[in-house]
Amino acid sequence: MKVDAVTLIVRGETAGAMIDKFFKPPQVVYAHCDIPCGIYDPHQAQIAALTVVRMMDLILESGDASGTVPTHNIARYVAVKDEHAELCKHEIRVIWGDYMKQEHIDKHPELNETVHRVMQLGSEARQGIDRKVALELLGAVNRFAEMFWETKGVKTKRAKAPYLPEEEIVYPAL
Amino acid sequence: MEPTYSPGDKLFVSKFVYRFRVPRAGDVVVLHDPRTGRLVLKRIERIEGKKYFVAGDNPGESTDSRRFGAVPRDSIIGKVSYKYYPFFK
Repeated sequence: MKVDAVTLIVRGETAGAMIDKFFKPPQVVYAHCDIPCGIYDPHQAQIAALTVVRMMDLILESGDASGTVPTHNIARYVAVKDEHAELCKHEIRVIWGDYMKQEHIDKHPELNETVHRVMQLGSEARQGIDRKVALELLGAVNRFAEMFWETKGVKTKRAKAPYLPEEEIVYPAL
Repeated sequence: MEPTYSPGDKLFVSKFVYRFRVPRAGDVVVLHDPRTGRLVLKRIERIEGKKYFVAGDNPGESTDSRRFGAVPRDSIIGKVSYKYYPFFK
């Protein structure tokens, strides 16, 4: 019997089927895009924002200390603050640009504005040592995290991170 | 393509039905992803001139014409005609 058809398996686990014995081995076809869809999680952005707060605290604790050792240390705190503010912006941009779809944006009208605020507050946190700015950055990242987990149908909770600066972050209630 | 099809499902795909009629909205088809050439499974949402706008049934997780645009007729290789495994679902 000549059958002008192609048999396909939707990618994943398969079990044997009698039908398979009569046809050429089935071809795999992809319904889910796999890569480019990757693993997305706002946690790294939250850690980066906490680091920005912590670095500001360390810089401010140094006060007016001068001399080679304090200068060296403060220089390092500033370097890490700069690095992590940019990392925070990067992580949020990747999730927003690569993962978020139009319907997520439709369901969360404040999503785009929140992302823009992360970008602006991240830059502002680099430029100064105002702890309020760092906390606002953390707040925007937490808000983004809540919206992100909502798109996955995962409930969230807020808890203080068990390490300095011991500020509240959003965790998925898994 | 959840909930219509799940990983592991086995499908018959007809390559000759489109010799008798053109693909139409609602058909679940196998086509080449225009970006990579990889075979993907999507539903035709609408026809735009001579091209086909395809979408996955699970829009929150699907990469489809919203990302890679409407596809030409020759990228569609066939229409899903029957799911033979699992039989009951």
